[in-house]
Amino acid sequence: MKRLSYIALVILAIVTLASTGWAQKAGVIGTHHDVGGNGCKSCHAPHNGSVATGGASQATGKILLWDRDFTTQTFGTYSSPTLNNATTEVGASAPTATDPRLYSFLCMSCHDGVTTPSVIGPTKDEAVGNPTNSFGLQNDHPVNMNYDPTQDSGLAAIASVTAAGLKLYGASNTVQCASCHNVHNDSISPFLRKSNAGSALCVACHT
Amino acid sequence: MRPALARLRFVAFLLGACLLALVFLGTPLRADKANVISSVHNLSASGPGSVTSQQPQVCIFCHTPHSSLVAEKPLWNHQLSIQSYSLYASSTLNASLLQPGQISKQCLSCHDGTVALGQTVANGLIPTQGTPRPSAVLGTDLRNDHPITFALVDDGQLVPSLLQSPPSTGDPAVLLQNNWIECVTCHDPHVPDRDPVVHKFLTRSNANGSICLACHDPSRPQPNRLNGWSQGAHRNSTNATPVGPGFGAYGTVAANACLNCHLPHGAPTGASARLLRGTEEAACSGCHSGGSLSPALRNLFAEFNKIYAHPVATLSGLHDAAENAAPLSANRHAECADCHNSHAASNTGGTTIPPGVQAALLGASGADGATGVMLLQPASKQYEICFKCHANSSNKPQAVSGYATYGRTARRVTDNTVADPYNTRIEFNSTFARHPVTQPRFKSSATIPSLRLSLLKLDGSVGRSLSSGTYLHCTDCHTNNAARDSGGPGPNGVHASTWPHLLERRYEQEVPPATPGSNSAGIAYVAGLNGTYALCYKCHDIDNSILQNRSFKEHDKHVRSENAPCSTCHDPHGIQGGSSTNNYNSINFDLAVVGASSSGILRFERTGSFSGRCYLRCHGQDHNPQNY
Repeated sequence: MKRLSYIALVILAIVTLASTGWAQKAGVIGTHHDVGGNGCKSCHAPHNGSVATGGASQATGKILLWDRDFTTQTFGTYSSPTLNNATTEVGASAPTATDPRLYSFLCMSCHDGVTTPSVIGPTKDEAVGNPTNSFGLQNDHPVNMNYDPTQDSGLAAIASVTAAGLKLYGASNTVQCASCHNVHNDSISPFLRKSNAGSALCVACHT
Repeated sequence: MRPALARLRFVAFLLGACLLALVFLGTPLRADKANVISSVHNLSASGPGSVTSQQPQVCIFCHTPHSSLVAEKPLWNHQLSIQSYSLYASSTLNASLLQPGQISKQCLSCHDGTVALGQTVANGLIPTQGTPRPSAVLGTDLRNDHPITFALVDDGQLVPSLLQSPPSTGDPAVLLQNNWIECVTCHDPHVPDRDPVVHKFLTRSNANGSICLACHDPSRPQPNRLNGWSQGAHRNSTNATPVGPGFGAYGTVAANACLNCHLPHGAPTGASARLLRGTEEAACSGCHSGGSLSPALRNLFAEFNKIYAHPVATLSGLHDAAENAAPLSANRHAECADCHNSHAASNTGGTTIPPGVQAALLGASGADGATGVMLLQPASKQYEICFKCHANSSNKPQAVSGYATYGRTARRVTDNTVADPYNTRIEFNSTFARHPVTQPRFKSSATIPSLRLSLLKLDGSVGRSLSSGTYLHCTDCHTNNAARDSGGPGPNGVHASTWPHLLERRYEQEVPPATPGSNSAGIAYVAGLNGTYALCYKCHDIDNSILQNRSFKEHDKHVRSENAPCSTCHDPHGIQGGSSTNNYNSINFDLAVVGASSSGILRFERTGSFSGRCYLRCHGQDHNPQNY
């Protein structure tokens, strides 16, 4: 009995890691995130931060070897009478290398439609964070938001969210862009961590 | 695993399970959005309803993770309607309705039928196939739908917590939105089956009117038309209701509760105020026409086919629940709701001692017996209900030409001396001559030797006691000719009768001669329970007392030899005006039959116990005077 439990635990750990931890980074090649055929260099540079892609800052490289300029936009936050978990601003200032906010903040290097207009212009559908044309992040699913089911009985347990393949970041289990999106793999378009057929992605949290 | 550790883990598991159960049980409204996938609100390819699409995602028809309508929550994705709506109106609605609120407009973005079901903001038009159920399309005319989006105004019938700040309903499953009633107060778009019978995304089961009662409070004190509900027939009757249109879905009258008569959506034209199933009596006839329920109710509506009936079926559009009229004058009418309050009406059996209201009349309004102009909500005495029309009403039928269909002008001697001769309230309030309707019997058995100890039912069996100090109901004389309270097979009450004046039994009145006082055939006396004066016979022993001349010594001569009916000399309600001397024992001659004596005098004078004299001419006989 005891041994059987351990075997089951190990299998579960392998399945979990395989589905979430070991991102198929090679999967980015040929997708929209393979910007101009630059592969990894679409977002990362081994040296010199954003200067490597014609940007202005060496410092961006301190975070995940980021080679795009950081957004300076303020995006605002989604609010709703039925939103019970704390949601805080994604932009306005650069996060530290350990701030879970970076898993939304970095996306805004392109998806704010401002910082890198040569990739995503302000009127593009993909510019979901554009403050002028798309209300920043006020009309998007809240990100940089704590995920705490004790604040909202309509939410699934944290363990079941991660077991479903979604990711929560930091000590407060925050929801970030990368909770639903895997920037490195577009096998489930648009870069989803889980198929949303039957809205399975939505109901992974919203039970 | 060591036993101690195993036990510890088991306890931990139990604690966890309990905690989980608490979380779910304690918050019924937020549970299980995944339910929407199994509901007709799933318009995706996997949807089970009549409307589906090729779209694999479910939530997308209403919500989007990106680029939602910024002012609409939560993450609203369906294109909103631009319609303006016709709003519910009713004379008993105190609140001022606004156009549907934000969250209700989201519902109406599909349910008003003007925007394509797949028309989204962030994803464009998602083609759908199929059509929704007609009942799901409210249209832009919301006049026949339960009101939403208004500041609550107390009408004496609302749950008190609705009037506090902030307001709340009486049921945690029925929630206000921003302090107001919106679609989501009764419906949860994510959970289709909380009501396992009706479904319809109700926020809880509405069996026994539970959702309705979260706001509408029968326990508020009078005046409250709902007061009495918990004891009422429509709350408690176990009669089974049929499946199909016209009836609630819960299977019994008690479980259907409010829905027996009201429709939260889709009330028919003409009945939209108060959302009734039908206009006036049509709201009642579905159950009260016999047959439909099990066991079946008596066929009340067949009563109205009788030749004499209250004009329930023949008048329409005159009654209004807000009329608060006492008396009903110009706007005379008699609808079900004028005598019955469907919320409080009870089917409790047993004899109601007059003057109290019978179970079926509980909660109805009345006009007071002292002035006739004060509205009583509710009436506590049966006659108060009748007095709304038959007391101070300025337009009583006796005063209009239509009354001639009864063959006479309904006038008696004292009627010429008073301002309102057909006001039964004043008649019954007589201090010296009356039937005991508004006042108890005050005469001794010695002065009314004919009076029975108890009244006789239709079959001659003994009914209610008539002992000293008792009263009569109006319906002791005016009621169905086959009333069950009298032992008959039909429904109680003065809905209709085969006898004139809606009398329970035969009560012959003679056809007037061409000239009052001249010869006429009169009425050939027939004795007994079904005889010519069966109604009087109910309480007065005609054969063994009256015709034995135990009081008036010439009774037998008048009734049997001269064919004079009771009504030619006696005025049955009571004497208005007049005097004890001239109108003792309700003597008040019928002016259509009786004329003045050869001296031009028409008068009765009491001279003592069972003695007096008459000046009159009747059936060609001159009394000028005649002493006895």
